[in-house]
Parts: sequence; C-alpha cells; structure tokens
Amino acid sequence: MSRRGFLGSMVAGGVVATWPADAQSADAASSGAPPPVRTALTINGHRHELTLDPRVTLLDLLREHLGLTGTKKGCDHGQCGACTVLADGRRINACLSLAVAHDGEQIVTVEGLARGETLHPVQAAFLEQDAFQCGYCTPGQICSAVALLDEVRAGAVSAATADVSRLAPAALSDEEIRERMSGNLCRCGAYPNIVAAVRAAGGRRAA
Amino acid sequence: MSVGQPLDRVDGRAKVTGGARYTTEHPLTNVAHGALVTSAIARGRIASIDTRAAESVRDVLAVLTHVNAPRLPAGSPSGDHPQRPSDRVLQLLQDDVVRYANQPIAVVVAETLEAAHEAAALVRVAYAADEHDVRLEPRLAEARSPKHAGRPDQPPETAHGDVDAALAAAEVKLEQVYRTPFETHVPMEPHATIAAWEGPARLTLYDATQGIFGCRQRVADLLGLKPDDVHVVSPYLGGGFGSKGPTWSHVVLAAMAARRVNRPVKLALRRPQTFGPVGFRSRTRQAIALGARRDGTLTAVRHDTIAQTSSFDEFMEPASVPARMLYASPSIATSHKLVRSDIGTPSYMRAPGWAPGSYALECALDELAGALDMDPLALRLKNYAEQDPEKHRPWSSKTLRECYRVGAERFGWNRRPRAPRAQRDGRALVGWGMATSVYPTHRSKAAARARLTADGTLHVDSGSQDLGTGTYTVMTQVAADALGVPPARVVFRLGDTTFRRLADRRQRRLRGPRRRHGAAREAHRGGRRRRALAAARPGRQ
Amino acid sequence: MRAFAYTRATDVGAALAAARDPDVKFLGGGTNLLDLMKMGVERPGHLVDVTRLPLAAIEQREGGLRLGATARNSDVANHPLVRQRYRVLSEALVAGASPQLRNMATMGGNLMQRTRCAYFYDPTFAECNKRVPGSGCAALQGHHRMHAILGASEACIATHPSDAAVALAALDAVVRVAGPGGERAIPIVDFHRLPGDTPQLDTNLRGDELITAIDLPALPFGRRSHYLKVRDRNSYAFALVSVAAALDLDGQGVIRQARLALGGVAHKPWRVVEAEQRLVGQRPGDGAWRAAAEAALAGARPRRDNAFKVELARRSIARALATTAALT
Repeated sequence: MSRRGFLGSMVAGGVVATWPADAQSADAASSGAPPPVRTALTINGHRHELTLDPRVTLLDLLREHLGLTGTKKGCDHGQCGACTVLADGRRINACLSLAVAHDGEQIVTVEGLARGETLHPVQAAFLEQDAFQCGYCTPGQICSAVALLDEVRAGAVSAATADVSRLAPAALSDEEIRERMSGNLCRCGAYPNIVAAVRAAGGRRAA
Repeated sequence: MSVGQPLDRVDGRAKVTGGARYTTEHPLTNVAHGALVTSAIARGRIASIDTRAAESVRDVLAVLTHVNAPRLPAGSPSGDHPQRPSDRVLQLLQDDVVRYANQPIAVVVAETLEAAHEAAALVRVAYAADEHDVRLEPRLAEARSPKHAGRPDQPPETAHGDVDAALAAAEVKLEQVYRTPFETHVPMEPHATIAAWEGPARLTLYDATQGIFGCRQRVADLLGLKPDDVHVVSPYLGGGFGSKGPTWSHVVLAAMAARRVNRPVKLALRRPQTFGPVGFRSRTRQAIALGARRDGTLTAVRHDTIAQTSSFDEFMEPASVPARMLYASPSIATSHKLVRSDIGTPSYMRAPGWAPGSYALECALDELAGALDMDPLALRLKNYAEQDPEKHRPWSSKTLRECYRVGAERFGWNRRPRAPRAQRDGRALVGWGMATSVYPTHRSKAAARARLTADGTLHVDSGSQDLGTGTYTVMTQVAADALGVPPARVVFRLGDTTFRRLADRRQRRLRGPRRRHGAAREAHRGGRRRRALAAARPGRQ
Repeated sequence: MRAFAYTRATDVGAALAAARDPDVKFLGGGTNLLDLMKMGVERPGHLVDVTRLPLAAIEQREGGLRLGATARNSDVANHPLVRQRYRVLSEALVAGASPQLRNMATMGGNLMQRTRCAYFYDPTFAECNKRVPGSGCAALQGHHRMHAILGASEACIATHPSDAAVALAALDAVVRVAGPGGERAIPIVDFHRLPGDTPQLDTNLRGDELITAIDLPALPFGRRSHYLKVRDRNSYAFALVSVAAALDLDGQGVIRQARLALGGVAHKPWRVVEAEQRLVGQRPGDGAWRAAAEAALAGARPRRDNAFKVELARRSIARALATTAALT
C-alpha cells in the first residue's frame, strides 16, 4: 500500500460505526448510565462545585478535569504513593479515592503548598538536599512528608517505634523517617536525600 | 567557573511545586483518551475479537484491532529487522499473531478515561493458544549467536589468543556459572504518548522518550511520513533507565488512534502493561573460565553469555563485553548467544551488559582470589590492563589504579577482618568486598543553538533529554562557562525536535550531558564573537 | 471500571435497606474494593458509602474497648487506649500497608479485605475457584510461595492478608453486625471462613449485613502483647508469616495465660488455643516456645514452594513469645 493509500484509509475510516447493542449479558456495557453525582471539594483553598461520573478518582479529577497535574499517576493502584495528597490534613492515595467520596473536604496538593513565591519548608528542604532526580515521585513525597511531620508532632506511632505504649511523640530518627515514608517509592533512588530532606525539614541533624 | 561547583537543579523549583509538565500533562484541547488492550496469552493467535460490547459503551469513539486497523505502508520496517540496532520490531495490529503476554492487541479511544478503561475490559478475545516457553535453562542447547550485531563496536564473539590451550596449561583454574534474573525498569512515570495530527501528514507527539530524534525517525519510517513532519516533544521524563529509549508499539498506536478519531489521543500504559511490551533486561547465564599462574597472573579469560530474546526480534544483553577490556590476559574469548522465547523483546537497561557482566566477572575474580589465597584487590592490580588487552592500543587515560588506591585507603581495606563471618551489625552478618566497576563513555555528533538577548540572557536550545540525569543543570553550567555569564542568566531548553536538526542519538544515563557539553561550547564560541561585535556596535543585538 | 451508582448512607437503616439489592457493595476507605474494581474482580453496580455514618468512635465499654467500624486504621493504631491496653493491635495495624492506606482504610473494611493471591487478583487467570467457583485453582501447581500451610483445601490455598485481624483473633474480638433481622455478634474466629469447597465465601457476614463495630473484651495483660511480622521487605509488604502474642505472667514469672494467633498461613487468622494451653504453667524459655510452636503448626500441610513457612512460623512464634515475655 502506498503512503497516500495508507493515510487515505485512515482518514476515510473516520469513527467506527456503532454496532447494534447485543442481547445484554450480565457483563453488558453500561446502557442506562448511572446518574452523575454532584459534589463540592475545596482544593488548595478554591471551592469546586462539580457534577461527576462517580468512577472519577480524586487523582483523575485533579489531573484530567482541573488541570492540576502536579499530583502524579505512578501505578493507579495505591502501591507507589506518587498520587499522595492531603485530605483534611491526612495523607491519602488519590488514585484509590473516589472524588465524590471526598465531598466537603479540604484537599491540598503540591500546587497548594507554597505561599506565593515562598516555598513550603518541605519543598525548600527537597530543593536544598537535591531529594529528587526525574521528579515524578516528588510531589507525592513532599505531600507525604508534610503530613508525616504533622503526624509526628501529634504523637502518631509507626512500625519503627520501639514502644507504642509510650504516649510521648516519637523521636524522628532516620529509621522512623524511612518507615513513615515507606508508602512513597522512588525508582531513581533518591531515598538518602529524601531522608535528609525530611530530617532537615523536621529540624534535626543526622542521627 | 560554574562546572564543578554545586548548583541547585535549575528545574528543581518546577519539580517541587508540581509545575514540571510530564508526558500526559501537556494541555491540548479536544483530547480523547486511549486505553490499550493487551494479550492474555503468551503465544498463539487471536481466533476472534469481539468489540461490540466495548463499542457500545457510552462515550467510546473507536476500537482498533487487527481486523480494522489500517495496514502500514509496504516496506515499513515493523515485521522486518529494524534499521538501527536500537529499533525494535513492534506490534501494531497488523496480524492476529500473539507473541508474548501483554502484547498490544487493541486500542480503545473514548471521550473519558473511565469510558476507555471500561470499554477495554469489555473487548472479548478468543485465543487459539499454543504451548509457550519462557524458560532459559532447559533450552540452553538452542542458544544461537545473534544474526544481527547490536552496537557495531560490540560483535557477539571475540577471540584473542588461544584460550583453550591456556586453560589446559593453567596452574590454577576457576570455572563457574553465574545467573542474573529478569529485571524490569519500572520508571515512576508509565510509558505514555499524546499524538496530535495537523492535516494528513504532520504529526506532533508528546512522548515519554529518552530519544526524541530516534522516536521521530522510527515513527516517520513506520507511518510513511517525512521526519521533518514529525515533531516530538519531551521536556520532562519521569524516569526511563533505558526503557524509554526505543520507540515502542504504543507510540505508533496512539498516532493511529488519533488519525482514526481525528482528534489528539492521549494513551498511557497502565502499570501492569509496562511489563512485556516496553523492554526489560533479560536473565543471563554466564559461564566464566579463568586460568592463572600461582602468583595470580591471568593467562586465560573466557566469558560466555546466554540470554533470551523474543521470538521475533533480537536484542543481545552484552554481558561478556567487560571481559574484553577490564583485565590484562594473553588470551580472551567471549561470546553471546540468544535463546528465542515467548517474551517481549528485551532492551537496554541501566548499564546494558555492564551490570550483569561485571557482577559475574568480578565474582569469578573473587573466587579465583579465594582459590589462590590472595587479596582480591591485589589480584586486580596484578592483572591491571595498561593497554586495551584485545586491541593492544593505549588508553587515552586510565586512573583505575588511583581509584583502587584511594578506595582502599578510605575504606580501610587493609584493616578488614580476614576471617569469614567475623563482623556483625546487630543480628546481620556484614561482609567486606571490592569490585571494579566500569561504564563506557560514548560521544557522537550533536548540536546546540545559542542566542544572547538584549537583556543579557543566554538562551541555549538542544534536542536532548533530562530523565532526572540533570541535563538541564549541567548544560546551564556549561553554557554559563562558555560565555562567562552567571548560571542565573542562562536559560537552557531541551526535549524538542525543533531545537536542532542533526543526526539522532539516544540518551541513556549520563550520556546526554557529556555530548551536549561539546556542542554547547562550540555554539557559545560563536555567540561570544557576536556579543563582542554587538558591544562594538551600540543599539544592535 | 464498570459504571456504578454512588450514594451516601445517612444512617444504618438506610444502608441496610440499600443492601437488600445484591448489586450493592458498601464503600469504606476503598483501599481494597476500588483496587479490585479497577482489576475487574469486583463489579458492583451500586456503591453505598458508609464512611459518614456515626460509626467512627473508639470508646471504652464494659471494661473493654469498642472500635467503630468506620474508624480509620491509623486512628485506632494511634489511640492511647489501644496502644496501652491492646498493644498487639496497634503494632499489627502499623505493620500493615502504608501510612496513606492506613489513613484511608476502615476497621470494617480491614476485616473484609480479600486475598492478594495473584491468580485471584487478575481475571486474566481463568482458574480461580474463589472468583469463579468450579474453575480450578491455578495456585496449586503455580506460584504459591505466599499461600496457606494450614486449613487449606484442594479448592483454594489462599491466605487472608490482614494484620489487624490476627491481633483481633488473639484478643478474642467480637464483630458487631447489623442486618435486616437485627443485630448480632460474631466472634472474630468465626467471622472468616476456611475455604473448604466454598472458597468463594470469605466470611460469614451475609450480603445484606453491615459491620458496625469491633468489640475488644477487657484484657488485663493486653499491655504485654506483641505483633511480629516476617516479610520479604522491611516495610510495605504482606506477611510471609506473622504472630500475635500476649502473655500473662504471675509474680514468679510463670505463664498464667497466653494468647497466640498466626497470620500469613491460612484463609483466616489462625488462633491456636492448643498452643496457648501448652504455655500455661511454663516459664518463658525455648522449651515453652518449642511446645507452643509444635502445637501451633500441628496439621500444617506445606506445599512445594511454601514449605519454608513451617519452620519460619516455628521460629517466629519463639521470637514473638520471647519478645512478649521480655516486655516491661
């Protein structure tokens, strides 16, 4: 087939004709589509009133609907942490969250951390410690670290905490940092500098 | 002087604020979403593929399969062996054959991501499955020398001196087999492409690629386009490690889908789909034989690697290459053989050949040191190659001895405990070891363009990549030094095929900055001349 | 994902009314359900979100503790009363998943999570009796390194992945459930099923029932308890074997009472009363641990690729009990 013939057949193909709907099996495609759901979320301080397909995850809402592409899709199955955002102050995986299920909540993404030109201390620490290479895991790492520091201040425990029955806030050792950041993967291997950044942002020197 | 001085990454602020745009994040209007359907079997044929349920999902625009996909132009190198060693044979819906698990077999295009994924799950495929085989060990006897060499400077086999005789006569022999497993790159950013046509013959691709010019050429070849009419853009890449070097099937499929629906199509692989169709490092079986005198002098080195490739394309993991140059020996013989398996085609991954190959060779040397009751470092020094052992040419420079010396000093090598199992760290046994590590430096033709604007900003553009390797920052420093301006006055751009027009080269880890360095320096010399002229002529830029 | 309707339950009664439709599934944190829906394993037509129901409280009750079904894993793990009185549960919770997932996951959802057997999780594999009754079990001859050594059947050798459930089993927790017929209480050891010839059934919860709370009875020696998780990675990985242990030592250091449950080894948390009985009257030490391990692993049926779990479980029991005995 000549080049023109190839291109010609593509253009002429156009949109594939819709086949008549088959006799419906249990697995048949959505015929009567379920109603979209109205929801309101505050994202980085801006209120969004939305009408959404319930299937839209918080991650896809941010990236595909609202142009907030700072939060990343690394696995879409809650395994890598690249999609970590803050919902009412808690770190969560946006990929396993339905947008509509977070109705009324305050969502903070990486784009919402800086105050104008002034970076959040965790962002600044990541920059100073060179805690990234390709940068794709970085927004998730940063949001996770922001929440981590709040959790430590609130006295939360981790699997690295020697005695969970002690109610005093855990000391933020490197071991604690690694355990508390274990939900955020980095394939470039920037882990040592990420730990250094969290340590610095937490106001400690090396342990 | 900026090079050699610490500098915060110039793209750092963009990355920590979420401002850096990766492949699927470029804002385009009227974009449709693609979803790939991949095979559930490893070998066989698609007996039937029923897309009716998929097509009747609301908001679905098209479903492409081998039944309705356009035929690629004749002579288009999809089924043949591709033109360049780093080009791979692709699966572009041209037939009903399944050659590996997760092979692309259909593309769904829809208005929304949710509809695309829903429909992809509804594509009903009936397979005529054949027995598949992905094993290596039971099939070693079928291993064959590759028909096509990989890199021209890496022939599959080399023979220098008489290894058989030297081994037979050796005072001490070490023969061992080392095995390394399959390894997958898994960069944080899944492979993805946005394809947008402008008219029938001009195509823009926002692609997660480590080689924008390779991508441009490959896509042009496959779709019968002029390379100048294919524009590839990749300013930020969420990791690659080699897996985004070749142009894989989904890139072309995105272009085909975009043509079909007459809209830009954004196609991202789902994470499970990044295992199979976009390369990985093959497992290896490496047989090493070393012959030596009692004093540790090597007399024979044999390194035979067997790895796997797909049933339809050849890629050779060059694990036997380090043995060709690392140590002096009067006889060296190396080989690579491939077993064809029902897997996707392997590809370059972090230090191709060097990673698995130096592991095996260094372990062999350690074992030889053990047999000789000799300090492993002393064994390396004993066999230090003062010149290339095969070509007998002097090195342009070699500071490996210095590395050994400084390393030994800093690590306290001579103070290490000699008895095995002598050191603990808590419950864990801790050992001491050393190994030589090498990575090649490749230089090739390159170009950059420099402009000095009236406000004193130096703009430098080059068609390179930064996959986390730091190209943006390194080139900023090089450009700053070339023209004697502070780095803050430099704006370096990359990742766009309109930035330069010379022959393509791919960038893997650390390759780009070295290459661009030279080009940028040259461009700046021109710039410096122009600036001197401008200073002499007030009012002109 | 298949398209679905989404509604939010305003009260338990409304939730139960909605659940009369078999196409309805309750949505808690979504960390397992949404994952399974993306994989095409679960395909409900209607999700009823129960996270806004007033079921999140963690409160004292009859000397023990009532954990609301929608209380988040991290809130339970961090609660002072859980940490001090039921230490093993806090340790088990923080041993599971990642911080993000623990913030999202509910206690009820934790009990309901499904096996991570790779053949179950990926519908590309045709043989899975849990997903498609009667289709076979691909794990038997396939990859089963993570699979069960206790209580399995030739129909299914999957394990239950929850860490918290193992601790709850050791703590004699009771699952409170609301249904059309009223409320009932299911002891945790009866909540999850053995596969038998009905591996498609994970639990004894009926399709139209909703977990409302998990009750922890008073346990005076709950502070002397510990969760040990043995896994391929240091963090964020499922158990190869895990142990929940609690010991009551008298003034002379002799074991008065013991609790022991294993994870990673069966279709349900494996509470071993026989092992506990062997410990009573013993002094902490290798002899006692060996006797307990012997009893705990009685009836273990190792397979080609998971036989290591038997010895690993024995040693893990010994270590967990030793650690527990040494707690101050």
